[in-house]
Amino acid sequence: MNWQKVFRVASYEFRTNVVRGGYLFATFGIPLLGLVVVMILHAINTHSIAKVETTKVSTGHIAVYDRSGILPRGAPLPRPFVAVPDFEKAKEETAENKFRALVLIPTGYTKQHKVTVYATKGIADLDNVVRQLGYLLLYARLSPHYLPAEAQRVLQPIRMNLVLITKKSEVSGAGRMFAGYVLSMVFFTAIFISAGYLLQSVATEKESHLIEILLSSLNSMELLWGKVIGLAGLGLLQVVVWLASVWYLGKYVSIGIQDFEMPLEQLMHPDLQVIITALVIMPLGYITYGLLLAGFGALGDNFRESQQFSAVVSFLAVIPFMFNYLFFVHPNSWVVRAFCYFPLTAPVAVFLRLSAGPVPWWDLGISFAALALGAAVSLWIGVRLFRVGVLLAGKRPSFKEVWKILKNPA
Amino acid sequence: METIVKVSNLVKRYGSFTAVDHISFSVSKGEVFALLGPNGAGKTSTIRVLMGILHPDEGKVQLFGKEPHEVRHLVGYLPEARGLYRGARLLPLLTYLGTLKGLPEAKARASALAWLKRFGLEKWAKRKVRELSHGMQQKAQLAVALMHDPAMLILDEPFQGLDPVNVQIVKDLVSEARESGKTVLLSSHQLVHVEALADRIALINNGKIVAYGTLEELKRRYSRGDVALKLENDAPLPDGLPITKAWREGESWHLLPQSGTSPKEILRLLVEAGAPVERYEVVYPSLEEIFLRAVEESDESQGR
Repeated sequence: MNWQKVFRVASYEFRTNVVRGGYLFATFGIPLLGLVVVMILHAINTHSIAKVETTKVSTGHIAVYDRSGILPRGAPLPRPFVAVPDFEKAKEETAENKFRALVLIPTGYTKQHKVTVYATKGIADLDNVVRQLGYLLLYARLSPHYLPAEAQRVLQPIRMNLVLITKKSEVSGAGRMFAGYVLSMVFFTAIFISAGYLLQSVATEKESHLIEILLSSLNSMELLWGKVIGLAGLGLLQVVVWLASVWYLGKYVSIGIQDFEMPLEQLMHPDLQVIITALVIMPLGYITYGLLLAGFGALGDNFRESQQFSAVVSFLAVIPFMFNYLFFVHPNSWVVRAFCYFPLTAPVAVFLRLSAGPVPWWDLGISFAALALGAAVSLWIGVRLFRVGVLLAGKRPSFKEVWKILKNPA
Repeated sequence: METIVKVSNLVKRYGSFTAVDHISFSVSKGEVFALLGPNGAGKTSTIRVLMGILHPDEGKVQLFGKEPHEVRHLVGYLPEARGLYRGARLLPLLTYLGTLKGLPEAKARASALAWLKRFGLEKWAKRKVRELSHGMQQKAQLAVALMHDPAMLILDEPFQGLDPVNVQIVKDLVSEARESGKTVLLSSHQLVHVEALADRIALINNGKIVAYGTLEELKRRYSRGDVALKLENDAPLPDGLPITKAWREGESWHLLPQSGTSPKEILRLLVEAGAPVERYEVVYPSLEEIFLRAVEESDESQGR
């Protein structure tokens, strides 16, 4: 193997692809979009906290007629609620839009937990009204006095900080979960964008008929490795830019997803297991997918055909995402383990499993070994298909012919 | 004379199909050697083996006394199926392809520019390939084959898709290469051009060489003894000549002698009959006729 030629190809592939619009968008545009999304989430969070302090139904009162006796008789209700003594009259007044709505608390409320709301039109913030009504009813049972706004803030949905502990360590569960999940997305996307470029590069050379000129200067292995290395550089650059963006954002932003508080900065402090997994999975995953895609890509007569050949490989890779729930709830189940031990699903599956908590090192070792084996098999298949495929023209080989190529390449 | 290409009993198979079937030939230094044959005859497979792109199933191929992949830098190659990255700019692409042939980047760039200038493409150096016309792209590909000043050129269908002006450019390049002591191996369907350029020829059909030699040798071998004859005052042909067929070509006659009858014998009989012969010429077959006859004979002998 002439490594000088390999690096010339790698350099050319990197230089020509790094300036592509699609790549620039994926590398720099996606973090920018991420910034916008995070800022929106941040704004929503801030707003929702602020809202608790200031929430008031902005216009009009809501009449409350209590048949259950749950509300203290004669005590004034906090805005926007107004206790009414005559249900029928209140209903008429609601129909005349004197009240925004009328709430009937029926006799059996404590058993059925149902109220009826009468209104002339839909209420835009009905959720908010119902939530406040709920507090009203709850606090009415707890205290002779309605709770002040400070107490209401305390009773807002709780945001948790989960800490995963072992005998020796203590890691932020939310951070780890987030890191694992985000890293699986980052690596998956980077691997597939690079592998996609590899496929496109092979297909373009074949379609443009440049391949024979190239093969008159270097052999197919040198060409393939040049492409693999050059386009790996693209993937690496992408990962660095994305993680740097996350780190930068993390310094300023902490976002909440469901009930967890997740400082983005925690992504930049993953534990040792996540770091080692990233270092192993990124190159092995790229080789596994990249070489297979390049090999199958070489069989097509043009880019579209090449994509069809490679669709099977790509589909297998995304399957673990479809079983998200299992990874978080049953990270040690046999299904999850199977995904982690199968080379084509392992790159995504291992990260998803790590999201749920520490994985025994021996278990992780099996995944690494399986992926290494997968990379070796992909190398064997990819190189053989590439060597023969790039010279096939005007004819799409059948699966039988593909098998023949694998058994007996040119 | 130094042998540059030596092919011995080459066999190349694709599954059960034998594309090249025990062919042997050699090409000497400074020679223009033509590989001719109908579509699917095995020319491109042979050339791909010569370039080290395909591996032979049997036999041996040597270029400059070495394995083909060891001397790639000595060969300039213009493949039959050719093209360039359509989205790439011309000069950087040519420079890159030059570096793959072993040229340092600066030298590759200078050489690419020199060839673009020679082909009148210097103004297009910074343009994208897709902006070039078909003919311009063909010339750019030719520049790729030539820019590292190879000792040997392998041109697979070099005239394909070219207009007469560009055909002449290719012919001039081949002639120049021969004059400067380079070896040229070319394959083409356009036999008229090959006839004017080739020193020696190998005709391939169904993977086998059916004719091999200098043009002169092939003409003699495939000659049927045809005669072109002009008689004074448009006199009629004498009766009783041992010919199979005779037809008029303008003011002359074209005679096809019976098998075993030489042109000399026909001339003797004409003189004896007192025919007023104004012009008498033995007509040798053109390369196209040789090609057709060789392919026909080969098909017949193989029962096709």
